[in-house]
Amino acid sequence: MKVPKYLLLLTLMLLCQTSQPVAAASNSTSVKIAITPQPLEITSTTVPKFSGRIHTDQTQTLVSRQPLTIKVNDQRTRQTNPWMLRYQISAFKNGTHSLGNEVHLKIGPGLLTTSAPADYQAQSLNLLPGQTQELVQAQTQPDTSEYQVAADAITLEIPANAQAGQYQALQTITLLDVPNV
Amino acid sequence: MKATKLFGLGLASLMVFGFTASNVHAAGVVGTDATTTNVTIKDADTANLILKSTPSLFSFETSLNDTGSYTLAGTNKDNEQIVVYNDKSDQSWTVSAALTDNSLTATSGTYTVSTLSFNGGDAIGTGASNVVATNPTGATNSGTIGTDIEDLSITFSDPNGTLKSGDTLTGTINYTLNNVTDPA
Repeated sequence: MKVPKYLLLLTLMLLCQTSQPVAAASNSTSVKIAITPQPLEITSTTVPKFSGRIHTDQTQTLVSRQPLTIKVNDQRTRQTNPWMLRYQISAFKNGTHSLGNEVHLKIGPGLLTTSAPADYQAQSLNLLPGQTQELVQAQTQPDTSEYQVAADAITLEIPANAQAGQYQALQTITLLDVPNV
Repeated sequence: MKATKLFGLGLASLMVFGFTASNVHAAGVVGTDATTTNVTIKDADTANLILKSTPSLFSFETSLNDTGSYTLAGTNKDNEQIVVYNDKSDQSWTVSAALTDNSLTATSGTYTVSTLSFNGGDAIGTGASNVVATNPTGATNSGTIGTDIEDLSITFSDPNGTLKSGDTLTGTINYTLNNVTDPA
């Protein structure tokens, strides 16, 4: 029996109605992601550097050859909380050998430089390895600030009988947004 | 003609004596009747299914992070809906979404998007996983049907850390309205 062509065509049309895209008048959405400036961030730091001849029979104090400089970018425009820097130093190690926990890192008070006058409280630190202390607390206008401790205000006390060598320690600086209470 | 005349007088009096006019008009009414008018909306013989509109803009905002991986919740501008017109209630449909090239662009380059999800669907997905609107059931599946946008989120990466503060990434989601079944 011969099937009429129009029946075949009709059957094909019905089959095609399943899961078929149909006309769309408006069919797109724009997606936009804005990368906004970090409202409060550390933009750069330097580390103190020490060198000297270690005397094995007495404690020695080394003076840094480089200042400690920390730049803070504060773009918080909706509130006026102070910000705070905290400082931590790890143990000084030469490979697997450590100078131990009797190393004292002393950091004198620094100066905060901003484009507008700012209130700040700079602290003197006397740190043992692993300790964290407050370095400075400041209340600034939205601006980039620079906190600097002069090289000669940073000293390192090495215990007696220390083994000579090249030692390294990790400096960790934490920036905190301090809520007003 | 007489009634018309009375009404005309009453109307003229109304401007001065309000209640008198009503009484005169009531006197001319000799009976009331009512005719109920029904308008029945039934399924059309045709099967019009139209994607009328979709949201104009999905916005996201973030600060930079050093991991290069971002997962963000977004906002739908003016709470716009996905709007479908359907004149046949037993006609099932879905709307699927697809982000062009599965990526976003900025002046610094192209950034791969791993998920762009809302309404339980993902514009990065395929098949059933990228469905972001589905027909309701029964009579509500007719006329103009709006679907809200919920749980809008995106995950993308910047593995080389090339994004900068102030950058804007843009992309386009395209929608397809699918006629899933048409039993008629």
